[in-house]
Parts: sequence; C-alpha cells; structure tokens
Amino acid sequence: MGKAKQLEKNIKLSEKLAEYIASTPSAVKNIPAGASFVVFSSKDEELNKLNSKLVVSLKSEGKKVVKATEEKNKKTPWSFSLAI
Amino acid sequence: MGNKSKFRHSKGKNLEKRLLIPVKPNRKIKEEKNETVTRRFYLSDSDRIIYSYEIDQKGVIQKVVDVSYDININGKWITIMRYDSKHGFLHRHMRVSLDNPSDTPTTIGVRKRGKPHSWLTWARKDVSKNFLNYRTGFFKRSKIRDLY
Repeated sequence: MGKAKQLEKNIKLSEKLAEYIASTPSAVKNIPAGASFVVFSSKDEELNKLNSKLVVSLKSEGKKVVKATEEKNKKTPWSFSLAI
Repeated sequence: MGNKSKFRHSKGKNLEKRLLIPVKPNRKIKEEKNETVTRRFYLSDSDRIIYSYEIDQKGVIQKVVDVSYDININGKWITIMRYDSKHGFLHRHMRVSLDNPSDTPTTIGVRKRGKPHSWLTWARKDVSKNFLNYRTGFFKRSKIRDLY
C-alpha cells in the first residue's frame, strides 16, 4: 500500500472518529490533552501495519499517542488506548 | 454652579455621602471561561489534521479556533490551509507557498450560515474531501514536486 492510499484510508477513518468524538465527548474524557490520535481499522490489516509504524515514529518524537481502534460494536464504535 | 454634588439626587435634594450605602456584590461573580479542545489526527508521517474549538460550560461549541491541514517538509510541520471563525464568521486561510508564510483569508465557497457547531462539521468535511486539492495547489505554488 502506497502513502497516498494510506492517507486516503486514514482520512476517511479520522473523519468517522472526529464525528464520534464530537457527538460523544465523554468517550475521550480520560485522554490527555494534546494527545495525537492514530486510527486503526477493524478489518484492514495492511493499513494497521503502516499505522503501527506511524505510532512508533510519533512516539520517538516524544508525542503522546492514542491508538483509536474501530470496533464492530455499534454502541461503542471506537476503543482508545495510550500507546506505550 | 461650581459646588455641584457628586452624589445621587433624590426628589431634588442632595444626599450626603454618609447616607449613601455602597453597593457591593455579596459574592464574587464568576467569569465563565470557555475551554479550548484540540484534537490532532495523524494520517501519515507527513500529514496531519488538527481540530481545535472552544466550548462553554455546557459543552456547546462557541468558536472554531482552527481546523487545519498540516504537512511535514524536511522535519518541519507547515499549515497549508486552515479554517477559523475568529471574527464571528467562518473563513479559510491558504498559505501562499513554502517560501512565503503569509496567507490569504477568504470566505469564497465557505459556509456562511449556521452556528460554530455546524461550521466545525462543515470545515472538517471540507478538509477531508479536498485535502488533496489543497496539497496539490500548495506544491504547485511552491514550485516543488509532490511525491503523492
């Protein structure tokens, strides 16, 4: 997968995530201010591999990174975990 | 005329200073401060989108501080376009080029109706839909080749 494709897929997922965060602010109340989000798909393993590398590079820059994983559960469509 | 009283007049009579009761609030009036919420979404090692907005005590969006698309060139993050509602309406800023950091604010093609909440949604969707066009335009203006 090229960078352009990664970008295209990530922007779609990020848009979904942003909409969810805007409508359910309580879902991210425990997430530290200024954290950087990286999205993970529920089905696209190739994209997830690339995004895992992205997490590593962001962490090496000293950023607080939150992994936002798309879930198949409609009630809680996203889960969040701090990348350690 | 010269010795005019500084105090309140009541039915044409001057009130003496000792009869006046200073009016003080019983408690300090709290100033409601809006909170700024910022979310950064990394799309690749050289692309990110930032949403920043102000919410009041009730969680209602009061202002779009920044909806921007940034790219990383030579290890430096550069905002190539952004939206804000600083003057009470939504407008877009486009960076001129890599060498010229000034930007051109415009309202052409930007949502004018609605409230900050709908502006934020609109700006977010616009960036998601058109970020490649903004990117291409910026690279053309900067006279550099885009690798995508």
